[in-house]
Order: sequence, then structure tokens, then C-alpha cells
Amino acid sequence: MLSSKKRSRGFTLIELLVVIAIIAVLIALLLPAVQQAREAARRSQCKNNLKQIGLGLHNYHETYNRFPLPGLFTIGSGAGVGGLVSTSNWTVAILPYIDQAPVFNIYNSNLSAYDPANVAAVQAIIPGMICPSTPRASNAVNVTVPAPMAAAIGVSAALTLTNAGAQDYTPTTAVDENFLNIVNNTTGSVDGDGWATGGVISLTGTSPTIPNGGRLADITDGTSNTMMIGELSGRNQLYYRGNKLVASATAAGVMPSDEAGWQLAIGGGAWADPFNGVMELAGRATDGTGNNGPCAINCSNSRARFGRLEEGAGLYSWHTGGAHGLLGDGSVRFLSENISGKTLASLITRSGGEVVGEF
Amino acid sequence: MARCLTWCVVFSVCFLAGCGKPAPLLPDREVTKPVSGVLHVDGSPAAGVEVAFHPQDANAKIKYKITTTTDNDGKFSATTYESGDGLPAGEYKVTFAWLEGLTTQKDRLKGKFKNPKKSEHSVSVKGTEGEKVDLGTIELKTK
Repeated sequence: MLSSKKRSRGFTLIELLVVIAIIAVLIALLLPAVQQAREAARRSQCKNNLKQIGLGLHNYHETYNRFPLPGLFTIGSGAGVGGLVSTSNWTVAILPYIDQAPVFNIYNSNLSAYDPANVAAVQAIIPGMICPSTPRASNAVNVTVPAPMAAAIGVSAALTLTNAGAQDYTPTTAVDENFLNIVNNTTGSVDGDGWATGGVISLTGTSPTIPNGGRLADITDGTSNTMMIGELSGRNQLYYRGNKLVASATAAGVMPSDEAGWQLAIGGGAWADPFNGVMELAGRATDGTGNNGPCAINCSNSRARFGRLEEGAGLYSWHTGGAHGLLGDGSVRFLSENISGKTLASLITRSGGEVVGEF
Repeated sequence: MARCLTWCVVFSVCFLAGCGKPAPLLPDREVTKPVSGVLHVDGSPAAGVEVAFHPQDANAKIKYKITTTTDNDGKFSATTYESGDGLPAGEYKVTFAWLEGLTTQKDRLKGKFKNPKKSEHSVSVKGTEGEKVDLGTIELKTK
């Protein structure tokens, strides 16, 4: 009697161990969930930023009867840095519509973003242009376009941005013919136009490029079937599937010798950077390398292929399994990295006449 | 009690069994065999030349041209899905374009090696086990 009473009090070592083991298992199950909840919160904010950008673009359209030019260079002679009279891009244009009027007011649109007079405006960090999921040492990015690269676009001096506010979103302005060849398994495709293209105004009279598109009426595929802005995070650093690439050192004033150096110069990682006005989707190999290839989401964040001004990799984000895209109707969709390239290309073209289907 | 412990272990193993590698991108790939070579233009290695492989078989699974670019030593290796993975079995015509300038896109080879119909360079991939195609050094003369 006495011994059985004694036995019922307290727990044996095995019982305690079992309880501890169960608690350990539960904690082990829960801890990753906490991290996922944090990433989910960041992803929501990232998505909301895109939604606000969409509203800003539509408000701009209400005012001017067209969407902003994604990117614009006005090149003349004499005035401005190396003859670059002024620059603009879609971010600058929508600043007043995304509650950034103070920045817009100190940004002198008659000058280029690289002009010393615009330093204070360009250095403003706009949280609405930054995806919180993107790992960055600092939200201030430095850009240097060496003189020989600037010369290729008709500017006679190196262009620099110092501690410029970062930018994680890019307009999807075109689809490269090679990407269309790959996704349609064919030859002889032609480049597909996105919702709008920017332009180069040449005051010296040499080969200006004329902007096209940009009005809601130009989007004949329907705004809910046409992508406007997507994530291209982590610029001006170059990433291949989450791995950062380091540019090999080159002497000042010399063309970069690899794609990472190229990205540092014209990756368009600052919101004021006019190079952020062009993203022609060309795709990459599944490890992020190559000229073009079947992978368009989360393989590389290259905005321009090494040696070119255009032919970017596609969309890139730190979200698991895909990236966000803003459609012309203002909705934001999470695009899976397994999305058919054909569907993605159809989404980017504004008047391709494709049936997009479910995505 | 020992039985209870066993069950605990079994349960935890079941939970952990779900953790594994995610599925690879593009699961239905063609089998490719590495194809590489070195490109010299007028006797010296040429960097930044775009090398394109144009499939010639009428019933080839991949119909688009597969491109790669030469590195600083003039070396290139064909890339279909992943860096240097090569080409699926078949006959290919090889073309070369050495574009200069960011916007002008002028061909430093004067367009001489650009047309797949006129190309004298070709490669044949048989698709046999362990096959590696080495094109050796390809010499192009612009003069």
C-alpha cells in the first residue's frame, strides 16, 4: 500500500525524457514557421509597394492621358554632364502620386539624375521602391558608368550616382526575340513590345529613338493580361540564383570586363537611374549564366546582358518560388518560377494578341 | 515506456521525411553532351564573340538557335539549359558574330560568318554515353 502510494508521486526519468522530446519536436516544428511568418510579412509589404506603384501609374495616366515614359535620355551638346541634358524615368514621374512630392519638388527635371544639382533628391531613400525581402548592406547604391560606356550612348563624360536611393522594381518593357524563339521552340521571332518603351531625344540630330506605347489604349491585349512592373531585386549587385558575383577589378575609366561590372554600371539599381527604364526580357540558363535561355524568374537579376544595353534576365526576387508582377489593371500577381515562358512573354507584350490563359 | 519512446522516434522520423530537395527547374530537359572549342580571329583569341548553334535536323526537339559567348581566352562551351551543359544530339551549323558598341551592333567580322546557310562550320552530336565534342581551335579570317 505504502509503496504504491510512493510510486504514484513524481515522474520517472523516461517519462520526463519523453515529455522533453515531444516539446523539442514541437519547437523544432514551430521555429521555421516563425521565420516563414517574418518572410511572409516582408513579402506582403513588397507586394503592397507594387500595388502603390500601380496606383501611382494610373493616377499619372489620369493626369496626362498616358503612362510615364519608362526611361528617357535627352542628349545634346555642351549643357549637362558630358552633354547629357536631362534624364527621366517612370519612378521620377510617379513620385507625386506615391506620396513623395517633397522629393519630386527638389528633383530638377531639366537636369539629369547624374547632375550635381540633383544629388540631394537622388539620395532620398524611398521605402516604396524597396522590397524588404532583399538583403542589402545599405539602401544607398553607387553607380559609375565609365566614359567609354557613356560614349556609346552619346555622352562624353563618365556618369556617377553616389549613395543613391535603391530600387527593386523594373518596368517590363520588351521581350527579346531569342527568348520568344526559345519558349515557342521556333526561329525567326521578332522582339515583342511591352506596355511602353522609353526613348533617347537627341538634340544634336543623331538617331533619336522614338518612344512608343504608353497609353491605356495601346494595351490591346487588355490591361489584366499585360505586365507593367516586376521585381528585379538586389541591383546594382549581380546575383545568380542567390549567389552574389563580384566584379573583377578594372582601372577607372575602362569598360567593365564581366557581367557583374556591367551590372554595377547600368544595372539601374537606383530609382533615379534612367537605365532602370528598360528591361527587355531575354531569359538566362537555369544557373543564371548565358546570353539567353529558358529561365526568366529568379535565375539572375541582370538588367542588361554583358556587352549590351538591354537583354535582361527577367524577374528576380528573394521570395521562395517566384516573384511579383504588377499588371496593367493594378493587380499584383505572384508569378511562380515554374510559369511557362510562353505565358510570361504573353504577359509582357501589350499587343501580341496571345491568349494568356491561367497563371 | 520503451515502446512509447520508440513511437516518438518513429513519429519524428515521419515528420522529417517531408524535408528534401525541391524539384529542379525544367524537369523535362533533353539529354545534352558538352561541346566546346576555342575561337581565334586572324590568329589571336577573340573575346565576346557570339557563337550560335543552329539545329539542322528537320525533326530536332530543339528548333531555336543555341547561343554562347567566348570568354577572354576565346574559349566557348555550348549552353542549352545550364552553363556548359552542351547540345542535344543532332547536326548543327555554327555561326559567329562579333558585335561591337552597345547600340550600333556592328559586326566586327563584317557579317561573313553570320549566315547559317553559308556557314562552313558545323558540329555533330551523336548523343552517345560520355560523349564530349571538342571543336579544337576554330580560325576565322576577316581579311
